[in-house]
Amino acid sequence: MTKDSGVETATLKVFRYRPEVQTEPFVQEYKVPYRQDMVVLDALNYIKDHIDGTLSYRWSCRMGICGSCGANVDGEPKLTCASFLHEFKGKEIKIEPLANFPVIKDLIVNIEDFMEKLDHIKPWIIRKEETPLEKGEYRQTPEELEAYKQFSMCINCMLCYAACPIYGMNEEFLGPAATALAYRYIADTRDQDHEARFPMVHDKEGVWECTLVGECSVVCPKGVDPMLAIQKTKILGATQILKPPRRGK
Amino acid sequence: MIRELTSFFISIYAIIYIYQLSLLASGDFSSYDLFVRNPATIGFSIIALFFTLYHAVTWFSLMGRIQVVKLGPKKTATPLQAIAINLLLLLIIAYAIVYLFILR
Amino acid sequence: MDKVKKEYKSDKLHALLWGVFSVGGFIAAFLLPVLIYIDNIAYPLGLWPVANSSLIKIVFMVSLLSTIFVFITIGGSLFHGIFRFKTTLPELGLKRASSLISAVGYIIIAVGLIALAYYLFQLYHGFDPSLFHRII
Repeated sequence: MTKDSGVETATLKVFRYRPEVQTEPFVQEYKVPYRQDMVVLDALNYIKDHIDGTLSYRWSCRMGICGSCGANVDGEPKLTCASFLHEFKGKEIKIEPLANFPVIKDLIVNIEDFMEKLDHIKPWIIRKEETPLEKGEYRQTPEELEAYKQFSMCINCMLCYAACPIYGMNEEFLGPAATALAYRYIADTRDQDHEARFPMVHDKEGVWECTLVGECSVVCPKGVDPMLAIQKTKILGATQILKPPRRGK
Repeated sequence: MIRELTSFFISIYAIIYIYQLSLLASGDFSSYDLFVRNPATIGFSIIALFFTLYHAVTWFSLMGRIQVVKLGPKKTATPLQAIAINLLLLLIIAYAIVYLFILR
Repeated sequence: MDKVKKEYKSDKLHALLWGVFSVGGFIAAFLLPVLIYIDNIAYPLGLWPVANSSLIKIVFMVSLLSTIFVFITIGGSLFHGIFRFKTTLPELGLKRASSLISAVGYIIIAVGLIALAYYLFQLYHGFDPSLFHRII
């Protein structure tokens, strides 16, 4: 942080891409007034409001719940609402769109691919037979809850995809969050058709592509361990071939 | 990165071991003996042993995360305890093998 | 341009190969250290437990059980090591050659396992234990 005429400032080097004006992306430097309690998203909002209204980025809740403000901050996938400027004290902060995704404009990436994958893994509880409401809720023991709870914390922010070198090489790879969420339902005792998700997670480009890099679990802002979900899903797949094939549909 | 290096050393050791078997199988025992007593072979083997043990520790810590070790009805092992339990198991297995094939 | 909807299918072959890789990981962790120590460290340096045992028991070549032990330990470790190494190389920037690397990896595994089985079979049937005594 530098002092300009008494006011402390932070310098942000922001990746810009404006296909309607210029075909090549470029880096634009902004100086914003620095405060100890400011996060990167506050700085971006300051730029948008006071310096340059053309800067585009996604955000909503400002509190690590909505999962929409992810960006590569100094090369690391982070939620901009949860990255304090003081963590980068004394240096310029590089803000880039999430890695491994096609850029639409500035910091906004195309998330279509992940949205499709999310849909494919059936992220809902499948019941063969719904019990009537008056019979009450589907109950679980604390242990049964523990089996999937951490994976249900995923907010679909896609930081894990930005951190995954395998996804960077092969866009078809199902990837960390989608597998973690598939496992979240596979491990849920209320779900009655776990195997409905096996063709997706055990696809050639499903879990088998993962080489246990582990970066997904490092960058997750919600403490989810997608690498663990992928390993557990692999074990399910390997033990599945020992079982006789399923009859009928 | 070390994890990838362990797989490299494990692979090379396995190939060298197969080569040693070929020397033994040829019936020329002295060629086998010369090869295994070569300081380079011994040096590499010590490095390979180190990396294999490193692999064992990382493997145990991963297994400890995948399959939580229970120490009682309410108590689960911490990651460090899980590694320690597995290392103890490794020592027991190693001694059993030494006993079965050599000391007995 | 609409993307063709992906057809998903459980990949049994990859599941099997991964299963073997995983079992190989256990083998390399639990069985390989003691084999390396006895055959390539304790034997040439004359350390425990080889130092005070009869010479023929230096290498695991005494019984059907020990032959199986060597096959499982070396075979499992070879499979595990090559499998992991070949999946790592593309990450290190050899992305373009990943299918070639994969093919070479499986060839090394196949040739290695055949050679291992061949030499162990030969030794089990034709090894002369007295060789040990004559040389040393």
